[in-house]
Amino acid sequence: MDKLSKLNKKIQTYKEKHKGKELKKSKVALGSLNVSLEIIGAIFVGLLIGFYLDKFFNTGFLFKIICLILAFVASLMNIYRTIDKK
Amino acid sequence: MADQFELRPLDQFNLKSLIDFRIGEYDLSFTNSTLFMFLGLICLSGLLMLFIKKPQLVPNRMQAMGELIHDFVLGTVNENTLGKGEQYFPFIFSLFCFILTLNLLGLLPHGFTVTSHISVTLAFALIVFVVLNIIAFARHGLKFFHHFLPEGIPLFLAPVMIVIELFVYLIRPVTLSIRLAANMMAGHILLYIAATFVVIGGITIGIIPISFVIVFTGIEIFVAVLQAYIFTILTCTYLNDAIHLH
Repeated sequence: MDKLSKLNKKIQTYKEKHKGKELKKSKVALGSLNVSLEIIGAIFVGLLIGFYLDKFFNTGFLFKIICLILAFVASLMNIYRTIDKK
Repeated sequence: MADQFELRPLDQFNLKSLIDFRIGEYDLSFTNSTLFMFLGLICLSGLLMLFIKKPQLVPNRMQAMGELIHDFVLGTVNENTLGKGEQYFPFIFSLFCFILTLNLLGLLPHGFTVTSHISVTLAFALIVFVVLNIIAFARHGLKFFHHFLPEGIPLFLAPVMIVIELFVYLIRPVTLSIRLAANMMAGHILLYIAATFVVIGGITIGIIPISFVIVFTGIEIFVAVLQAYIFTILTCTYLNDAIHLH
């Protein structure tokens, strides 16, 4: 019972510390189709930008690879921001 | 059995020009897509005009329906822009109602889903993108580029973060359009294929696919409303980002 009361005390202090902020659940219901569509769309845009940058700078495939990876990371960030907005 | 009919699930999205009209190189013919956009416009404006026909302080039934939709979208805008986005409410309301009407019109028998074409949804998303850019530039001027550098980032990570933030910003209109178009197209293709199972099954075994079609049409109505809502809520989120620079 001692451990339980200690745990209770911890819970009470934590609740009082974070009183005003409540965990916000995501309002946007992103199913699996929508999440995969975001990643695909981002890869498409990344390749498009990389393609035109390559044409401008005449570098072959350098910008395509860089923009592909960056666009993939950007899509993950986009998904994270849509689901988890506090 | 298989050569009695042709399985063409993508034929329902073909553009058929009803009245041909060309100006030089540009094909401005009146297609079935244009017809359903006009139908959506007429239905929507007729419905909204019916809602406000006899305005009273204590609303009658039609006015209550209109107030329901109005308050719903107003609540969404205010919730996502923290109260500051109310002056852009007419734009977001018309966007929501028009996309909702176009989505639902595709579910009628022989209805053409206008929003299943990426050209249409890309037009919507680019309008949103351009309008939000204009809002952000008008409010913040050149400080708009502070948006691309989030706070509290160590200095050696800054160039990578700026490029990634730029990509996140540019990806938004594309994913906004692809999400709507793909959801609409996928639902209708699935309905078509399940319907061909009904034809193949005949009267006895066809009961199973037809019950699936009935249930899935209900799901499709839900998806149509949900996709219009997701478009609106993401527009409000991006509007919040444009008004407050993150």
